[in-house]
Amino acid sequence: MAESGTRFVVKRLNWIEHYNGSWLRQPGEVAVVSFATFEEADAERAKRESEMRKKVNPFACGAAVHFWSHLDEPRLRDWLMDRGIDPPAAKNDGTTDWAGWWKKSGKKLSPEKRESVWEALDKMRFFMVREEPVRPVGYAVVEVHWEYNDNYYDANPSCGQLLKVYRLRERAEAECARRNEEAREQWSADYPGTGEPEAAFNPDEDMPAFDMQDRIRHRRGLSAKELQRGEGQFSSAEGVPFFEIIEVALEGLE
Amino acid sequence: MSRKATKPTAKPKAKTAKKSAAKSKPTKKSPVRNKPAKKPQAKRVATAKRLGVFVVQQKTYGVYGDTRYTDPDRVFADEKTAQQYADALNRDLIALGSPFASSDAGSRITGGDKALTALVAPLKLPLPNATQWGPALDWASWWAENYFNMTAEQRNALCLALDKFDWYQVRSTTLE
Repeated sequence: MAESGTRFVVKRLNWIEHYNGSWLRQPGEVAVVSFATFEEADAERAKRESEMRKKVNPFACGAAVHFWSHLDEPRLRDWLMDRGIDPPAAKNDGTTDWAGWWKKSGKKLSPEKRESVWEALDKMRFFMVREEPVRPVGYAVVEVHWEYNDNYYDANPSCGQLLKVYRLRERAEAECARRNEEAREQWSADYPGTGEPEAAFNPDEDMPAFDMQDRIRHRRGLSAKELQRGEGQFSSAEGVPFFEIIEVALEGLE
Repeated sequence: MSRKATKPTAKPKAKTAKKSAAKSKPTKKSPVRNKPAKKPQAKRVATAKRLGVFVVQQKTYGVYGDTRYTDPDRVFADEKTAQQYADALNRDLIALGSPFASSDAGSRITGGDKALTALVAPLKLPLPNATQWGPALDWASWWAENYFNMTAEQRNALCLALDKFDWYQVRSTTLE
């Protein structure tokens, strides 16, 4: 049971998708759900971790062994062989195609052997449990950076201009709505030809005027389900979130 | 790595209002005989108290090289606690290999490749090769090849020497 005033929080570690499709872990973590007992939290963590392992090629998450494991390559090979797993052979240039090996052979391994591989790859974790004090939540209003990429405006996935933090969601929402309304008017006045009316926009055929799919993916994390058709895409300034609210933990501000 | 944040802008206290109230206090020499009726005052709208607070963000760059900061995830009442959080994130950054993940680590230190090479020399490790794109040294490949030949302390020392690297830093903002 958690101590008085604390909870066991399941945290999603901050994995991001690199522009070349590989995954990289960045510092930071996001609270997903919390429990009164460690056992409950750990069961939830294990369930989510297991789901991720079905989707992820761990050897594609970083370009070298040190991204995956505290074991160096010879020790990683030994570990696998000790558990009856044949590691991939090194190529003539000394490199090893671990990602290709996992893609080809990973599914053929028994569940126990697959589990052994993940055990060795101790840096490849997607969730963790922390006992943390119950903290109040604040609501940060941030301006989204819309950057033109020669075709359309793309929302910066991880950065925004922080304007102010509010204790009350209602105040943050009011401020955000006011700023969005102003920004949409301004964008429509400055760029009247931006895109087609929303009703005529077909995401399968038309290029959006504004696209924030990378930002949504980054926010939801790699465990999130796929984006819906046209989600986060806009054909005009109408409906575009130029300002957003981000929930933040308030520490020492009870 | 410990950088001082700029001071938060706290709302100034209403000192002037107090002073003027004191001045208008009636004295013996100038008694107020006919006190005028109080003007009806407009009902005050409740305004939330503003506080200077601290956030931790990493500096990055937009597509045109303009400065950007990562979205914050936590707000702190005091700068010291915020700095501890920034230091923890920077330790994670090193542990995850990020400062050397791109090949241009040499440009993230005063003195460039030469300065970084001088730091590496005492470790008695092979020096990095030039990248295939130019004369700069390929520190990303070097890091991957030599990661396990260094202790955690040596890795930390090398990373922390990158004084031009964009570490997580404490910044100030307002909580209302």
